[in-house]
Amino acid sequence: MEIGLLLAILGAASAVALGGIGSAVGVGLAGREGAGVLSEDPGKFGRLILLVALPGTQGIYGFLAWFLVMVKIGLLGGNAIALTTEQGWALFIACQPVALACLVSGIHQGKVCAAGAAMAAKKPEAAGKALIFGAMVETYAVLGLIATILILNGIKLPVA
Amino acid sequence: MAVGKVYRVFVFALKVSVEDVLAEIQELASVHLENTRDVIQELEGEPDSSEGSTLSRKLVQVESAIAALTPYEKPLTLLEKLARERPRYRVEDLARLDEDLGVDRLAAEVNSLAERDMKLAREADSRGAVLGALALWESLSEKLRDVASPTPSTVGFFVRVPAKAEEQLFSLGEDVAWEVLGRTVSQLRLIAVVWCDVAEETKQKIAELGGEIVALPVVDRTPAQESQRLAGELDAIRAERAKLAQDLAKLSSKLEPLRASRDYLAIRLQREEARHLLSSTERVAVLAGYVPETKRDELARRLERFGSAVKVVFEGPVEDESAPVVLSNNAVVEPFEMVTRIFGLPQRHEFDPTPIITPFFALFFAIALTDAGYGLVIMLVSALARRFLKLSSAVKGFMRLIFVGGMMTVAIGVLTGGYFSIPQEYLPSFARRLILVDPMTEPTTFLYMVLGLGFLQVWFGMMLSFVKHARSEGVRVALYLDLPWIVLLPSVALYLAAWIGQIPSQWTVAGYVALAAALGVVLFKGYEHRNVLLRVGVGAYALYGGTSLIGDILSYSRLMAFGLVTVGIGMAVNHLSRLVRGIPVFGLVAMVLLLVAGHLFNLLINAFGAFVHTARLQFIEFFGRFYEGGGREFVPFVPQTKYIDVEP
Repeated sequence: MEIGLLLAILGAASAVALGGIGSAVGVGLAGREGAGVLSEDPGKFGRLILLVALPGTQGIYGFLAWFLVMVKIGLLGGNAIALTTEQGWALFIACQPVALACLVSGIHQGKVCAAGAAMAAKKPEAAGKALIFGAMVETYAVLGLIATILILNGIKLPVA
Repeated sequence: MAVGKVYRVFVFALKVSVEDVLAEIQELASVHLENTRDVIQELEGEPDSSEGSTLSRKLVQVESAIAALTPYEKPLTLLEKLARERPRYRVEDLARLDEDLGVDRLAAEVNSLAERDMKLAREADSRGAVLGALALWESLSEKLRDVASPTPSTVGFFVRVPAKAEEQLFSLGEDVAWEVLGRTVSQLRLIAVVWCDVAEETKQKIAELGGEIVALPVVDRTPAQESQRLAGELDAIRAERAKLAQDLAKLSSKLEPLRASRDYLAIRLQREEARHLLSSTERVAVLAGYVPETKRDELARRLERFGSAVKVVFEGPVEDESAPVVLSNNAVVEPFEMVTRIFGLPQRHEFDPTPIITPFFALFFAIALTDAGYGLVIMLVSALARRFLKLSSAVKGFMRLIFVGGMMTVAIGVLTGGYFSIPQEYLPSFARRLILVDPMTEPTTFLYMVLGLGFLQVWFGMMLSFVKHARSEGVRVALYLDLPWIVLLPSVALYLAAWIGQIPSQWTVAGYVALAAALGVVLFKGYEHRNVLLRVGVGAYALYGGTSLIGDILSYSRLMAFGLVTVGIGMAVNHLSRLVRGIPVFGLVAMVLLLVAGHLFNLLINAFGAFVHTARLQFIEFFGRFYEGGGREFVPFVPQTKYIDVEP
């Protein structure tokens, strides 16, 4: 396998892996806090489930970036195209915005959502506001995704 | 479209009528009660709550009876549970039901049965534990008491040790006499007999070797005999518990009226608690609160039946900030009140933003979701849920909201060619003709369109800020503060568009307009300052702050990202399903399953994200320009029930 293709695969893999780690840690943090709240009042489950699920989107973004790269280099269809080393690097670097932004923002969004869950324990009616705080961290994951998508869009490759 | 009009109401009632007046007001379910002493400081005290503690006690008893009987209720399927309607009662019927049922007696009976059952369960558990312990020692033919106290100066006990400790055990010394009762590969069971004074020491040594001292009952029976006796007792317990279960099961038919009684008690207790908000003189109780204009006459009518025992006074409509806020909107806008509520209700002097965010919210939600197929699914599910399932009014409202969102999503999906992310080659030609922009192949165009919509909303927000300032401080001030920005934004946009060549270059003249507007900001933002330097300074700082507008508009780019995510994940699901189809035998089934599960997952995740982020955009980039919120919620005094619905 050529270096170019290897690099492209590495980029795609890093996008989905790091995004997944960010979400996993984030949802885990929020879930732990949520479980603590439920131990006192299981009735709050409906309000908490959204808060706990919110950091999960970063993994989806990473997965999307992975998918876009895989389609672009033809690997999903089984006909991988030949990539030069530079093209491979370009694809690898294109994946980094979403990979790194989702990794870090996922973890921090998890912390915000965990705090939101703790707040919902005392003031259940304000759970919606906690959700908005959590959504604010997501801005940067979204920007990372947009950057990745536009860069990928701009890289012109021979058709598979 | 505004914040609803609200009247202040005072009710003066003879103390004997207070309970009935509260009942009447509770049934109306539209009066917000205030702490009377905050309003009329001169009065002290409140009407005696005679029944409070009795009602609390009865409520606890009935609730524990319900908890005891619920396990014996016939279980319902999930569908039955969702479709089951809450029973409806009128308050008079509840009072009669209470008497007919003999609630106190019934609850007491159920509770005593349940208590007895719990006690028996504990006894069964402890006997079971002893039986388990005895089981290993049944080969012993001596009485347990004889083993425990063989002589007055010795004591015996049962020991279990891991087999490998055997050597060490026997080397513990001559003070210990051992009798091996049983041996397995891993364990040794023996009796140890020691002098009383070294008993504790020996036990400790045995424990150090990993051994366990087994506590068995000290009785005049062999293990086998004791086991038999205990087994007999267990059987008796089981039989009695079976009878108790039968009795409880029979009583479980009374569960529904018992639940209704519970809610009746709860309602009465709520009235008792409401009494704390009243104040009183020697013979008269005073109640203060708020009632919406729409319910004022009905309240007056209901209280008329008390004749001269009750006098009602209305004041209003209330204008000041202290009054709680009631929203009144038409049927299309009303579901979106929930979005406004997340942020906060308007204060009385503000206007209700809900009608304004309704179209924006629906549109942006649709753009974030971007698939006509998903839109249809949402419409279908929400319509069916509202029709066939019994839902609380809050959930019903939410269903209406997403129905509207779903409708918009269908429209946007048609414009972007999204039908469950099917590739465009497979779409019929009329569908392809309707496509305005395909997010996947033209992401930058899609982005510009979304940013354009964001620009429009931010601009509209500035105009609303003009309206807000005009209402509160006059048109002149509004012109100073907002007009420069309202002109600046589009003129800068036009200039930039001409500069990068998107529109004819004649439009660069807009640059001059922009400069004039910028000058307007600098000169007029600090209009209230006499000092020219200060005024210009404040204005310049405000102009500098205008750079945050770039960030605000860029924030809308997330809608483009979400739209792309929906399409992208949908494509991934389709692609994977195609691959899976190749599997022999199960391929087709797996493909269908993957398609359904994958698209459902995609729909849920993206609908959720679309809702949260669209709301966030309204709150931060839009509300921030003209809306403060933080109004006090109008909380009507209503009968709060758990199991039944109260019919007025």
